[in-house]
Amino acid sequence: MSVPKTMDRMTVGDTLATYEFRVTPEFNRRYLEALEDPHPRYLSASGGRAVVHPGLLLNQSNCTRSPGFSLPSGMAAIHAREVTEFLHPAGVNTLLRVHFRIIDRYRKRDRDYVVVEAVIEDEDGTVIMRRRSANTFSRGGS
Amino acid sequence: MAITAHEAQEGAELEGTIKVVTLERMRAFSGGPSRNIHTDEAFARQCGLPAPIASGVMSEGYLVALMLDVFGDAWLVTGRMELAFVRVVQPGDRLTPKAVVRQRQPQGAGVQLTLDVWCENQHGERVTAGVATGTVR
Repeated sequence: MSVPKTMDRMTVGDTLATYEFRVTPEFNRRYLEALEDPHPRYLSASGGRAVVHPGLLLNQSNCTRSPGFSLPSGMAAIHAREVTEFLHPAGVNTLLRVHFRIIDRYRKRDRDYVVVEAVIEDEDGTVIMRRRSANTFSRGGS
Repeated sequence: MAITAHEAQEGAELEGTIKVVTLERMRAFSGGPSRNIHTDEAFARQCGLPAPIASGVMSEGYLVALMLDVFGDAWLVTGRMELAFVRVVQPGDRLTPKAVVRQRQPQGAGVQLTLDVWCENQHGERVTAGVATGTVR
């Protein structure tokens, strides 16, 4: 039986398991509170559907959310750089899926970087957001 | 009320509201089924950090809120942001999202803006910085 690769060992072309979640109004509200951003569009736009807070989309599309994500004990992933494209609003109560793929890996100033592309889609396959995040690693005792 | 994309001219300076980073807000933002460096002091120390640090994505969220003030809902379909997370953010820090319009280009009946964006801490240091682009009709 093969042992799953930890994130720090992943290479270009590797994928992480898809992460699926539904955005309830309560879940959305958690991000409004975290970011001090209680705009009405996230609660229920006048007569319309409440929109998922972009902060929720950003956090929930971190590679650490994948059920396949792991790192050696005592190691953490740290965001270094990021490119994000917002392509379509997501409505509250929507089921969202995040697909993860490693698209680059490099070493700079004695640190390893792994670049992950995360694509969020809704139930109809509409792409909501696309991100490319460069992650480096922090290790205890190093 | 922030200036809108239709009004913003090159060189215009924009500023969002000050955000106070607390461990409670970090836990609300980054909490999940397992412990992590944003929510748990012991886990952060195990990973070589002196204390929990805020996810860089929190400051991206502050900048997105500023962009939504400028572009309105158009940001959710045209927004693009390229950022570097350059300085650690810890509980107690006060961050201000800021932007300067670098370029304004007509796009049909609308306008596309390119902005330098950054979040600044209470010491005037940039913690997150980059470029944002969005279009309004």
